[in-house]
Amino acid sequence: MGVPLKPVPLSSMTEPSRAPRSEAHVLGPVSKTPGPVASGPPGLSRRPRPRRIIAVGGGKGGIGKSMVSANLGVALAQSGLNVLLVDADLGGANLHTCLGVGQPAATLSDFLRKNKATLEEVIVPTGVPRLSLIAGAQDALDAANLKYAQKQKLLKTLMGASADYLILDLGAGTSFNTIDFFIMADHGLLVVLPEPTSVENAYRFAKAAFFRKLQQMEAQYGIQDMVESALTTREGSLRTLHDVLAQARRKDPAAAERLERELAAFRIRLVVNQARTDADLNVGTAVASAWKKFFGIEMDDLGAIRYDDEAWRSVRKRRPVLIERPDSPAATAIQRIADRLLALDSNLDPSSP
Amino acid sequence: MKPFEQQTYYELLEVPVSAPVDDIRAAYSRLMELYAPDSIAVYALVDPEQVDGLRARMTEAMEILTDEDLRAEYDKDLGLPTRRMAETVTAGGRPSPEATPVAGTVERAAEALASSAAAEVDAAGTGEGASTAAPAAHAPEEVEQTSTATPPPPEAATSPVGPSDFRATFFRGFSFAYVSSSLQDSQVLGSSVYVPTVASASETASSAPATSAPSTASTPIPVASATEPVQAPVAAASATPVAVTAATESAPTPVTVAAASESVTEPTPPVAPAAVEVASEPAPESVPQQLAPTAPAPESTALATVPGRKEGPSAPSSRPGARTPSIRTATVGPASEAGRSAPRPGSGRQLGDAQVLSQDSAIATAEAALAQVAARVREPRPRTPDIPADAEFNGELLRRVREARSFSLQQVADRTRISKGHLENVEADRYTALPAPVYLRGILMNLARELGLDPLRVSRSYLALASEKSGKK
Repeated sequence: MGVPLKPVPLSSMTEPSRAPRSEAHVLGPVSKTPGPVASGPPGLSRRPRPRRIIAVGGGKGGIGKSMVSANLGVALAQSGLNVLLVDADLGGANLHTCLGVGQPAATLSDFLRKNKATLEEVIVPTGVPRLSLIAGAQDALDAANLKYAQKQKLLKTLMGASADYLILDLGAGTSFNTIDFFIMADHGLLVVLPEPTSVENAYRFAKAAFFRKLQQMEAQYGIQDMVESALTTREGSLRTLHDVLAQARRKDPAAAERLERELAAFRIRLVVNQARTDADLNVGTAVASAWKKFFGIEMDDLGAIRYDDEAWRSVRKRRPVLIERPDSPAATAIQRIADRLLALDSNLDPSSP
Repeated sequence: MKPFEQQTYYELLEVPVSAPVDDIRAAYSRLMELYAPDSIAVYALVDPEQVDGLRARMTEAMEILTDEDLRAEYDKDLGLPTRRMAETVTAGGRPSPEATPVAGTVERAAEALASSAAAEVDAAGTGEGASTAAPAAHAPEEVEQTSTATPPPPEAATSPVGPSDFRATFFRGFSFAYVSSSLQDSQVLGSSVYVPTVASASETASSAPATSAPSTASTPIPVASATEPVQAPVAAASATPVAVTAATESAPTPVTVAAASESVTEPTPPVAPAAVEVASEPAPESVPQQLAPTAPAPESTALATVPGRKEGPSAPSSRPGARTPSIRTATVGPASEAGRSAPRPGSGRQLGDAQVLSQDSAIATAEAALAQVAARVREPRPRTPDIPADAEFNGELLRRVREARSFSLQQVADRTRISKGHLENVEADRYTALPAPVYLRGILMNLARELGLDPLRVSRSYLALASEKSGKK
């Protein structure tokens, strides 16, 4: 729906067809993405879709989700990929400020309220080559309270957006509006600060994401009751994914195995922000191994971003630190995270598109 | 996906099965830091109880994997024995405290046992005292030392046995079985034997450098946990024949050798819980005859006859369940019998009694320490009496489990800080008299942990019953 379809067969679809629709800004040399466009989820296979969707969440507010999103976008764009940043923080959008775009003329709420027919109409340039932005809702008072139909429309449209990387900057909290964007992504980035409040919210977010994922799969696997009981906290209820899986296994071993595989494939990737000490740098690893120990699910530690006054100064200047001070510790750390994501994707590319 | 409860010790500590002891220790300390109660990584991740459970299991894993013979045994359970066997063979040589820490297999056990048995035969041959195995129980002179040395068993337990001499471990592992015979020796052969005995004991000390006080306390670990299969039959093998031979007044030294050689030929005979029962049988017979006035109950003889036993109340001597008490009665039995068969009944009897008393106190002290250590080792991995997987945990079952572990209500109450009244009500299924479910749950979890049951399962099952029953009323 969002993207004008070119009448080329999928197999021969060429790079330009997937360039972002933001004619306003200069498109750099065509990205080096290989191969034909991936077939999306069932029903969407005919549409182009972003090669990768990255969602940046974290549960807690003020932990640098927008900073990470913006700078990750810059880093990926600088490495030659077409990147579309979407401010999905519907209640507190400020990604545009991080990028220094100023008050955008068109926002996501225009699209949702059908002032603008297509997603392309709300895409604005950022001044960074290959990086474009869909700004979040500005002043609509009820923008944060997405209706179900609106959310479905947005999800579908975003899945159909065409870019090498689609980066979703999520809001705080663990509402389904947030979680649903997170679990639809190829890479769910969980930003966490090395402090208890943030870690607590990060775990809550991660658990909510897994149970939402389970819930979405429940129809498929006939485990509806189990998820329901897992979500309650009564005495004797199923408490962990292990319990849910164990019960699913009793009902249908084959389905449980598929379920397990699917859950295992859903890997949360950790980004530790504002690490002040060397010990803080290891918090990501510690969280990942504790998570694995108790839930048997892998998390990836993408790395830590050092606490950096330059990052703070850049925010004050309303410029991404990667552009303002590319050699600062924060900028290099984000660069490294972007590289890791690219490495992950290049590894995955041959097997799963 | 495997919950940590089901992970192997290696998986728990995240080390390869071939990891050397140093790596295991390093991994352990790293993980203990990671899962420390104030660690940020586990904050709000799971219930604090689960973190505690994980830590307990990790400690258990570390203790098992850093002890050569326990690790060998564990590996065997896992089904990966050949590698380490081969390793040990290539390591070769006689067991020594400096031996490579990874060493320690059944082969080595057998070897050590054989050499120790040989040493024992030598000792017996020279008439220096039959058993070199139990310095603690040998002579009154040693009692002082031991009783001062035994109090810090927890420390000894936390500082892992590690590369302590395998032979020493085995010696002390069997020392229980030997105590009775060695006591008899001293009784029968007279007091002149004591000095040589001490000498031989210190000889053992020098030949096995791990005989420092902490290791005296910690080495019995295999007795209580891993080498149970060995221990029980040996206890049976030595205790029963010895009791018999004591009655027949035959020379006790061959008996010891017999027992030792028997255990050499069968280093790990199959477990026979009944054997323990058998071992304890002679004791009740003999004890009342001699010590009836002071202590009619066989199990309390050690407690009752020990004057200098300071850690009595704090040491959960009956903690390891039915096994230790029965062994104790076995050892006390022959001892008292020996006292009875002492040649001089008058003042000599008193002297003999004094010896018995002091020896008893030594035994009791050692046992108390051992019991503590054993309890520590045992705690995370209790051996539950056969409870069907679908059993409902009502008060009756809980009481049976408690009694199977030979805890009194008062002991459980002391250890769990749950009032005796509550415990009685729990066991009697007086649901209406019990506190609100939220408190009851805590009580049940504590109690279950104390009894070595799965806390969640017990509380769930019991609470279900409670709500069912009280709901109907």
